[in-house]
Amino acid sequence: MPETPTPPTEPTPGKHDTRTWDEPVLDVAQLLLDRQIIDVEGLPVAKVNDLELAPPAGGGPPLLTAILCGPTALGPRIGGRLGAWWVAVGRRFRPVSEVAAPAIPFDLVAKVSTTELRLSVPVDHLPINRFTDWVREKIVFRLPGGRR
Amino acid sequence: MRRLLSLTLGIMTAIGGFVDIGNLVTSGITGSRFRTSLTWAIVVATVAIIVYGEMAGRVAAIAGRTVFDTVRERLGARLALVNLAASLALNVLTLAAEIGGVALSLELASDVSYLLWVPLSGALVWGVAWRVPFRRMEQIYGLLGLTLLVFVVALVAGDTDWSGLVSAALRPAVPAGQSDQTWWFYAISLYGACIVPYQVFFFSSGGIEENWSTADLAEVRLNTFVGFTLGSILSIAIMWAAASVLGPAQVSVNSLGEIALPTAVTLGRIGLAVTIVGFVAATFGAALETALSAGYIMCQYFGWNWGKTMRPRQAPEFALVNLVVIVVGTALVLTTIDPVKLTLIIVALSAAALPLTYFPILVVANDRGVLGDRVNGPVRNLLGSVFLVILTLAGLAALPLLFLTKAGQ
Repeated sequence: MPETPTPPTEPTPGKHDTRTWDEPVLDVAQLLLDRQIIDVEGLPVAKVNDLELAPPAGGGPPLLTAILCGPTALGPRIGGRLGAWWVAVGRRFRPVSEVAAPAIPFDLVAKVSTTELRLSVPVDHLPINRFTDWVREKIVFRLPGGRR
Repeated sequence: MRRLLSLTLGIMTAIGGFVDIGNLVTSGITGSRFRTSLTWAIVVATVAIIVYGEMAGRVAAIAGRTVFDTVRERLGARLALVNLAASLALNVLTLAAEIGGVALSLELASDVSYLLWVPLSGALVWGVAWRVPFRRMEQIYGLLGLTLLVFVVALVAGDTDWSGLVSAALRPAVPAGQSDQTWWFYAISLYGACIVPYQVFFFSSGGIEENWSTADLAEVRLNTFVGFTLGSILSIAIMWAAASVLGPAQVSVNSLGEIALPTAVTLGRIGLAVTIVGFVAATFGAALETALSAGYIMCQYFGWNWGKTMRPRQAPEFALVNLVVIVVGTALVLTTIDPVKLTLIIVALSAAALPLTYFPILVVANDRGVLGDRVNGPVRNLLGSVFLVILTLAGLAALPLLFLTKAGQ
């Protein structure tokens, strides 16, 4: 969770803006968290569970670099014991080779509206489908007529 | 002509799809115990579901957004998870009660114990959810559900004391020999049975499955206004038939058999046969709706792809949730839990859980960022707010009354 809303590179006055027009600020958490992510073909991908911010190489204020998905990103937002448990389950199911939560680089976001984020790539190009793929191959394909 | 046919079909589907095990049980019991004095509860609930159904339908048709999508966006990840857990639990319990209802109806028709029909009913629900196209599925159970009009026929054909029924309905009072607590408990159950949460989940997601757009708005509204109104008349007819036949005969309702009794007494074997078809259609249809709703809300919370119109490979999580809830629901009925008692508990719990779902609908129906100039007008907002207050009060009273009356005993 980002503690402070970051000023975007090109500041525009936001909907939830309470300040004056001289000092425009976008509240990224308000604008993006829990919004639906849609791929380039219009298929639902995931929800925005959390955001990744990183300081740019040349210094300066942190920039929004990625959208975090999956249980390890959702757990801390649920909070408490349930949230911790949620994260633990997510970690347990994650392959050792992967260190961080599944993320979608912010460069792949083509359009942001009040209700959704549209990506510039199809869903199967993203590194966030492990659970979906597992359910499809291990369960759905084994049901009669599951491959149709 | 084609348009007219589709309109009629839509309305008939809405009527037939309105009644489920909750309506059958609560209407039957209240009719036999309190005559028509609780008719007002069905009327109030129907206006509430029309007001909120129209908002959910409008949000789905214009913005292409479902109820649970807005629940997570407006309530945030944490509170929406509470809502998801409560709604899922209620969905599974309701599914169990509906499958029990299908099996009990088949027992009425066959004299074979309902427990033997339970696995078959569960398998059939999954088979239809898995293979039958969405629109066809809705039409089949909606139209077959219209056979419940037999209760209206029984009222008209029997020697019904209309003036007695109407005056008791218009001047609601706790009948002699009944306690105030049970009367209020059953008022809340009738109302919880009419506006169970799964109905708005199913209604809004189903609209997206059927590709509603702004052009369909008039049809969506007609379906909610006319379809839900006529659907509630079926509920009232069941109550009044029970009041007219069972009440005077001192028959207390403990199973579906007694609820079917008024039509059997008035119309004979044919009446009973048609009633059983109606019971099966109503409970089977509702079993499908609850199973699909579980898939809808789960996928919409997590942002996964969903839809019965999707191929299973495109929306695997949706297919998985459907399968799991149907298996769990079937297993629950097999524990020999009494589906009728279970239903009474569920409708009270539904009443308690409703505000968490209806509040976000009201908020989103006022959001110009989502609906443009199709947001609620003052009348809709007034009605919406009034009902939100009623919903909340009933929700707060539901659990204490459930415990105090031991589920209406």
